[in-house]
Amino acid sequence: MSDLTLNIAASGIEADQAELDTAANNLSNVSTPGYAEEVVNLSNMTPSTTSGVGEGVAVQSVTEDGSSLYDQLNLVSQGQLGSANEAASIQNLTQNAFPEPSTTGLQSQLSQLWTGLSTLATQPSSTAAQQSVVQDASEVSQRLNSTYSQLSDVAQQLSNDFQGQGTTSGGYVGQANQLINQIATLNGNIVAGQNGGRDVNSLVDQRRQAVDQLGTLLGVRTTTEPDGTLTVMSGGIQLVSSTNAVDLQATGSASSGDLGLETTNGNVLPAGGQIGALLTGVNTTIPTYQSQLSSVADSLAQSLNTLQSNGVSPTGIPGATSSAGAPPYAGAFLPSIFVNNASPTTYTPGSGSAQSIAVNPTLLANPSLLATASGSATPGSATIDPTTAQAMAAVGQAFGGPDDLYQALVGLVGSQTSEANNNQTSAQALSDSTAAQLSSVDGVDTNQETVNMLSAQQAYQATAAVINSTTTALEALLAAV
Amino acid sequence: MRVTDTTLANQLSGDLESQQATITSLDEELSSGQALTKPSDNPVAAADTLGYSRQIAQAASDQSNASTAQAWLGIGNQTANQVINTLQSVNTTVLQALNSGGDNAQSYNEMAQQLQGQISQLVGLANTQYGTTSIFAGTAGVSQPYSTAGDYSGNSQSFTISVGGGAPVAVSVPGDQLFGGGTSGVQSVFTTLQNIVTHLQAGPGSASYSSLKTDLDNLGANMTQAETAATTLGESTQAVSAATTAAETTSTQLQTILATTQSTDVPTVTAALQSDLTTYQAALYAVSQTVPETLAQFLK
Repeated sequence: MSDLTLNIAASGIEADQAELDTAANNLSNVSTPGYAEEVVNLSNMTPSTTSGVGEGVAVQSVTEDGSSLYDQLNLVSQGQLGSANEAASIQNLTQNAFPEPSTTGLQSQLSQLWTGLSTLATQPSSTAAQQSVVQDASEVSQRLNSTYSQLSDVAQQLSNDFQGQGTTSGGYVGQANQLINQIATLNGNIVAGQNGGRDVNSLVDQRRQAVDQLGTLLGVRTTTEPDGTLTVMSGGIQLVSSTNAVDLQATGSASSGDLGLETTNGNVLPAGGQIGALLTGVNTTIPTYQSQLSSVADSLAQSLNTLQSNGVSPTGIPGATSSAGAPPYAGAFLPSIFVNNASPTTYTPGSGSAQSIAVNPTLLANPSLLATASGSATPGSATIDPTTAQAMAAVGQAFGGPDDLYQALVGLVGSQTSEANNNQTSAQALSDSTAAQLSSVDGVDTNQETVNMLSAQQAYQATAAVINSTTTALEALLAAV
Repeated sequence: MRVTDTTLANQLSGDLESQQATITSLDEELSSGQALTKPSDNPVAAADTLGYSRQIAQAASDQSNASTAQAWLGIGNQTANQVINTLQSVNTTVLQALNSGGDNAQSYNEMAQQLQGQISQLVGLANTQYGTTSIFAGTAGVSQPYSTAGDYSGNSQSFTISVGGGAPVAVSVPGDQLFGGGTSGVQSVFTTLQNIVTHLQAGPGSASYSSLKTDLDNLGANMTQAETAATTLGESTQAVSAATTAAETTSTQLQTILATTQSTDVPTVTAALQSDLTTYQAALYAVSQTVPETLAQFLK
């Protein structure tokens, strides 16, 4: 009987000790990322005799609190937040290429060009006015060039973030591969630990943290298998199954707008998360802005080149398509105003033209070759007819002209950036709320742990008193014998 | 809901972060004085602002062109009036010659000499320039549209300046529309005057008398043409004045709209900032009160 009592008391002490240890562990890990609160699972030991007296308490296991539903929700919102953060940061970077509204942006440079042309129309043969128009046109084309390259630089920077600079191991892709392999390794260790009867809670915590990071990076979904391993999928493609990891690699390039992600066995991965937003930015957003910027350049160059070609210079040199330039005229024609850097005589429109638009070097050297007069002027005779110069100045007010196109582009950049910022705010709110739900289930509640600790402490003291009382009773019995 | 330490910490730090973000953006708006510093601040307003700036630049350019146009027209009007005065004085001389009935050849010669002086004065007027541009050469780039003999080498198109609001305004009349000759269908004023000189030099007599009567008719036609030209210039002057006023009004209105769109609404922003700061302080107080309060504090 007394042996039994002491054994029961000992099992109580052991259980209380486990409770105290767990509380201490929980409290120590209050702010450890990925840590889930642990609970001691106790059960009473069934009586082995017919007396009906129980035989004490057994520590069945120490398990983690948690909810797979909230885990999943949290993982999804991590992916969305990763995507929204990356998208917002890309939008804000690209927006920097459009410093509007300001007195230094492309819009005010365009206005300056139109004002210059309008002034030229009031004094077509003035060298100063011609010079100023050519200079203004050159500044506009340089601004188009620099805005275009600024966008290309952002795309290149993002591409470096993605693939890592110079190597294939760094960057987002490298990080993702590292996490995928870490999860597969942890899967193996967890199964081995469980089979060996060891506590695997800390491994599970590590794995959860790795999955969260991978979710932010890539947008993933997970399934827990009956053996305790975690299967990780992204975009419908299995990345981790049991201890098998599928590595990822970057494909394509930012310059050709087809940067992509595929598994080493060739499956294209429609990634979400940070990587998904990065790929959208590099392959879609930035090329769209660059192509619209090129439309601005095309509209400007084509309108002015056509007028130039249909007009006549103040010294009577006709443009190639002017009526003054028709036979019997057999002399030289006026040069184009705008050209592409690569071909210094003509202008070819295209989605990359904003990068290459330039003022014809011939015109820069000799601004008097600007057409200002109507095409019906007499070739070879000096003229102050301002018709063509007036038509050029009017391009600035043309419906659907370069200014309209640029205005629309700035509006587009602004609204997409503002939308990305709003998405970021709402993704943050969603993530905060799922994180709050998850932490309310698996987080450590200091008060609760303190209460647990107090009750374990009291139980410990009480059980110790039982041992004391049993010993006293035994001694009394022995003394009586 | 069970509130754990992590929940509480995340929530409080999230709240503080978002409040700080709002306060920072309001601070920025207030210190820069600009409600719009990037397109994303207000995409629609940003695009509109570009449109307004563009129209303001256009209005400024119109205004500057209008003052050039006024200068052209001022010189043109003045010259046209001088031409009319000279022609009137010639008219008086010829009438005098006719009415005197040819007292003596001497006075006819004196009149002829006076007229020759007036011819060179008119040639001077016909070659009037604005800056280095002859204003009576049409759109031909010639510095001396009239030779000393009064031959016209300009063309019959008017120089125009765009002052906004529709077609460009003609700011000069081609020389042949003020002085005749060229393609105008009116005999050149120089030919008329030269004829008068020749006929006066021929001395009094019935032949000169009838020639001078014809000359008087021609002179009448020249005067009518000069008056028409002066009227045309006057009309252009009015059109330019109207355009200047319109450009000024447009510019002022757009500047006002632009200022409203672009500038910080100081009272509203200040009030918003004040209220956000109060909330932020309250949140800070809440954090300082909540976080340390746990059961552990009371365990001694």
